[in-house]
Amino acid sequence: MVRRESPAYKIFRAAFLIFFIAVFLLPIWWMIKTSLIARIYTVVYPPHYLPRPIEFEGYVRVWEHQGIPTYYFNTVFVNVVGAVLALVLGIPAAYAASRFEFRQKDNIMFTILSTRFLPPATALVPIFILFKWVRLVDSKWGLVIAYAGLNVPIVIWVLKSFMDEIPRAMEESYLLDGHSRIKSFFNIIIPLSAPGIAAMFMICNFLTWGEFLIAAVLTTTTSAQTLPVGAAMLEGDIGILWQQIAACGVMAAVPITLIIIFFQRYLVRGFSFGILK
Amino acid sequence: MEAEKSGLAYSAVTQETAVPTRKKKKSKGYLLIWPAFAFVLFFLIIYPFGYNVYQSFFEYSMLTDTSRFVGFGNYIGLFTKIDYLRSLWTGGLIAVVSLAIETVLGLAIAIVLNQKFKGRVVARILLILPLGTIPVINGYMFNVLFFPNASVVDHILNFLGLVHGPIPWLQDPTLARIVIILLDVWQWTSFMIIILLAGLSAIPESSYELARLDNMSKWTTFWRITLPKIKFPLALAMLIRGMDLLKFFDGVFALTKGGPQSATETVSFYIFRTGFRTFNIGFASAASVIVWAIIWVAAFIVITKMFGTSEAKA
Repeated sequence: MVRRESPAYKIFRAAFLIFFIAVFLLPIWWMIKTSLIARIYTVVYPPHYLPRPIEFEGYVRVWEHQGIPTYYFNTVFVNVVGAVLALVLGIPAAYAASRFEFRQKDNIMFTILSTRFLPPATALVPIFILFKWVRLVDSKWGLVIAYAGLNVPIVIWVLKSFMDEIPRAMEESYLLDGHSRIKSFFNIIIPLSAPGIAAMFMICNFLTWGEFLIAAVLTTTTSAQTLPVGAAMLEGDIGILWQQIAACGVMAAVPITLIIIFFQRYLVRGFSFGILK
Repeated sequence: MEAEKSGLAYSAVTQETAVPTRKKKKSKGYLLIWPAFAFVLFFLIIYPFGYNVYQSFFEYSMLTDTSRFVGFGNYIGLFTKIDYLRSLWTGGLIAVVSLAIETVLGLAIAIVLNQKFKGRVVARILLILPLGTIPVINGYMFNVLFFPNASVVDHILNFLGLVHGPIPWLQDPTLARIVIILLDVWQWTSFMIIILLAGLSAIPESSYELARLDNMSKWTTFWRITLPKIKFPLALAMLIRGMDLLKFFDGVFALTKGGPQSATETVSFYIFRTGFRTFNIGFASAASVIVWAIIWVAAFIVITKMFGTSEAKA
């Protein structure tokens, strides 16, 4: 809008933004604050808005006693490997969808997309039974396969939209020079869609990083449990260890927050299957 | 799905016509898409659905590993015992209310963020931060914020003089639903902001020429020019968010465990509880089959309406 803004409107806008920023940040601030105080002060009335005195007890405890380093490693492992697997399966499929015509293409693409809408809870019993049978329950590889399954549809759709933007002429002239399709795929398409692939790798990690339900059902011990599951385990018989859950929350939120800040441009595409840019 | 124009927004992604194809190319396309498609089809659709359909006709016990054929017994059981129907209703209610609030609020914030003012980059980043947090841990944090007799929210409301004394947020069924809705709205309004902001910033300045010449009011400009231009991203964002709300689980698990008196038990939570807490696999499977049927029908109607009739312009 190019029209002049009245001073009254500017004040209204500032108030509006400050109000919503405060509301949006309150739970985040509370998490940070709760992670920094002694356990006796976590739930008191009137509440303490500032962490006084500051205690790192929460972080020390989760780091030393609760197996958090293991949870952290598991989370990174299943997300990174799951994202790589989704890309390995998804890149060729995206290329096919972008460049070739074949029978039932629309129906195949629609079917792939439809999986994104099915609640994981509805597939959990079958997948749990299957994984029990092939010994993938409580294994990091089981989660890798599950997370790849969640991400493949999004990878295919988003990367297809990236590849659609690469001019066909580049590939065609390369093919006319006598190179094979395979060579053009590796020498033209992959390098040109590298930014999209890198962004997709990050988006995949973002989408499954905080996943709780699947991870909670398919894991039973620290050998494969992820951070969200580890945090939920802190709800025990002696009560809920608020400060330690908060400490987990802060540590888990840091990498993912960096991803959303630095990959803002690609979030829209990741959220909308590449339909919106 | 007939492969006419309904092929999900292809027109939106590419404006190109299909390349003339030769027989050889067809097999190549299949070869490349086949591994991913087979994986998705088997692992996410055929196997889970087939297993659920099969298992929904049996009474299977995980503990003793025995199963008994019961015909439609599980389905009849689901519809005669109240809790499954109630979870459908509860989940639907929470989804509709959350989606409405997220859409209106997300649109309002996106419109403001799309204007030019000092510090808007910072404001944008601050307003998408909730997306970086872990849903299940947010559930626990909301537990602290709404803790009985020690609630931060109570303290703020009392300080502002809006209420007097403590509010039984998590003990009262209606209030617990409100807290669950607030949790979802808090975490996911950012999703709406991001998508709608992208839609708004794509509107060229020239579209507003007419509004300036006619001296339209801000309100009229919004209804006549802005809204029609972002209709497609708005519909898409609402579709995705609506479908995701049907999966609502993490917050319920951490915050209310479906309580009080099952007031916040969503469908996902019901299936989780029957399948993995009381080990009633037959019920969980039958419940899943019904949910899939509902989602497929709903998705089919919505998508054909959205992409079949209107020319999508992203």
